[in-house]
Amino acid sequence: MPQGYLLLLLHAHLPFIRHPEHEDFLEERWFFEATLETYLPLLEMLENLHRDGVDFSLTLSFSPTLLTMFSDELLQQRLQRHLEKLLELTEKEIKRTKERPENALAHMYRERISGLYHYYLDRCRKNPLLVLQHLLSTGKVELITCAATHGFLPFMRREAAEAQIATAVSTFQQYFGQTPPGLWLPECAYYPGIENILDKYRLKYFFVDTHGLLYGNPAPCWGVYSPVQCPNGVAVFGRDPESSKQVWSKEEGYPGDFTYREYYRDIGWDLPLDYIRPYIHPDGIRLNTGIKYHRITGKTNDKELYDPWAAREKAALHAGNFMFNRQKQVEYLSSFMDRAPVIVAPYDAELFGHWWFEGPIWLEILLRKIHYDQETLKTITPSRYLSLYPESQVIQPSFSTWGDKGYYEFWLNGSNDWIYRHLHKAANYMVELATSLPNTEGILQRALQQAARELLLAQASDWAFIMTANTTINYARKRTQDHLGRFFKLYHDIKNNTLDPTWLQAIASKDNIFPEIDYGLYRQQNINDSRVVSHL
Amino acid sequence: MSQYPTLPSSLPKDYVEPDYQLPSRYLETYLVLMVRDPECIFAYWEISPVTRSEFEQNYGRESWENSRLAMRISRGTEQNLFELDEAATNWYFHVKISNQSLLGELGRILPDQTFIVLASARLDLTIGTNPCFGTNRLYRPEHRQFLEKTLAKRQQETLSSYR
Repeated sequence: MPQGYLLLLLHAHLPFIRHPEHEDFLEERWFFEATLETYLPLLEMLENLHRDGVDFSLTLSFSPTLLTMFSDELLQQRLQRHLEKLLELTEKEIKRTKERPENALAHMYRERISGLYHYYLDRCRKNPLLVLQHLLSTGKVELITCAATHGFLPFMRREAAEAQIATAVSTFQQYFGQTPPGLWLPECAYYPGIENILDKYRLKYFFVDTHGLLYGNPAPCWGVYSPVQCPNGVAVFGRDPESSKQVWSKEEGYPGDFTYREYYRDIGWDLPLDYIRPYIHPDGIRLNTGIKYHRITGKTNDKELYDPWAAREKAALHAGNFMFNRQKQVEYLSSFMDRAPVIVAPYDAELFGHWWFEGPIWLEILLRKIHYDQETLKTITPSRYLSLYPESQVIQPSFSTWGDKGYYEFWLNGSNDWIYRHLHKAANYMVELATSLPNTEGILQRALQQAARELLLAQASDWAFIMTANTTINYARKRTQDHLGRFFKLYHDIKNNTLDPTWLQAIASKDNIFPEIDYGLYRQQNINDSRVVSHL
Repeated sequence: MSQYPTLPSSLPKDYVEPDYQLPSRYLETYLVLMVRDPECIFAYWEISPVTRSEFEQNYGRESWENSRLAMRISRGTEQNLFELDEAATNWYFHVKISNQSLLGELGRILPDQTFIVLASARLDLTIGTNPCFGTNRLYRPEHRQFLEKTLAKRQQETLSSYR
């Protein structure tokens, strides 16, 4: 019997980015890069652990947008083409670096990308959901869902928040044949009352940030080291700040170690344009190729060559350090708690592999060490912990996010506040349409379904996030404007009986997510449980 | 619903989707309040031409120009009046949100200082900003210390650069 548990959770999400109208679209690369650098290495690593008989537990939350992109034929073809181009580039790099010290690294990239290419084609058959289904069947991986398009739920009226959750649950059921046991709130953004919707869709648990639980009413006896339950019985796990800091922290986190690979030095930027042109954007826009030859080295721009073996050694050291700290934590906590403590450590999946190249190695070594090297600590899934300790304190959690400063500012500030006027109006219009047109068929039904899709896509928290982060602002603005623009035109066309079939077909073929969406989810409910936005 | 045609099976090759402009106004009067954090709320609003003309009918032809846009925020017995830029359609208000409902009223201040409400909105919420121990006997002194220590660790966290 271990003294305590570690609940590792990886949250995997990308906004729905699919542009059939362009042969080569810059932002689709987010999906290609994340699949190649994070999702495929993680899935392969988890399958290896299972094959080797390692007893581990890991919780994975995949957003419905990401699941849909995995199974979209157009994106599958484009991802395959992307991988083939990268393979071609690695061959070229082997020749170019023949007499140079980078040559061994060029070989490493060819082997790595070739391995992942075959894993994607042969094992995943271009759809990583097949592997996820297999991992789910092992019982070692618990899959949960998120909101349909990762909408920021606290800023929505009840019907819109419910449509986000209900659509996520039905998408999960469609892909995995079962109801998800729990949900990761987008941006870990909680407001009191959201648990009523979760309960309605039989979701048994969710997560909040540390202060969401500690500022709850009453305060939790065991802090964030034991789940509590909302007054309606839905369980809540609170994020542990210590384990989070060791990995996430900008200053002290493992990923910033000087031995690890430097993310910001890439041959897409370093090599002459004539050479690299076929592998960057056709318009000549330089971008990351994923081939990087340097290590972080230090805080200046002088970078030394990357040493994968030294980096692996460091990842092992960091995995050992992480495990040691968790052991000490559970030894301390179990000395006064009436139950085995659980340390909840959620991370963005993309940290592992994409931002932190060695992240998947670190995770693999950590899971192997926990299994082989000690007995104090064991990994666990939320469902398993709740079955061990079904009784828990009843608490009303407090509103919170895992964003900067812990509340809603990252999604509501001078750079993005203009979107809410339109998002709220669109949601009100959608409720009006769904309530006044409950039974439809043919093109009217298609138009109402499309209106629901456009609203959901406009609501993705990514757009507000990008506007604040000041990264690809123009794209975020355009996506917000396009989805809302399509929505408002649909609304007026439906109201005025002026639907344009050609236009509707055009937008339906672009924004083709959630083909079976039930627009009736937006029917007015006369429940106002949002406490964060005044009457909408 | 037979008045609607069916969708075409394919699109014309040269089909180009139009560009979209979002409405600059919805020609309605409304006020919406949003919580940003325990010490700040965001408000956005619109005042329709109809509301303006009703105001002018009630308070005189030049009453709009002679009055000032303002927001009154009430929490329990506490009330604050914030004067706003005439052209503003949104504002951040730095007010502490505690465990009582908050009423926001958008209106105009007449020359005699009378405040005329044009739109209002209410936030009904409970926001925790401290551990809530109450009188529950479950909590021993070490509980307080333990929770406060955990909170301090959370507050030390800096925003990650990995997003």
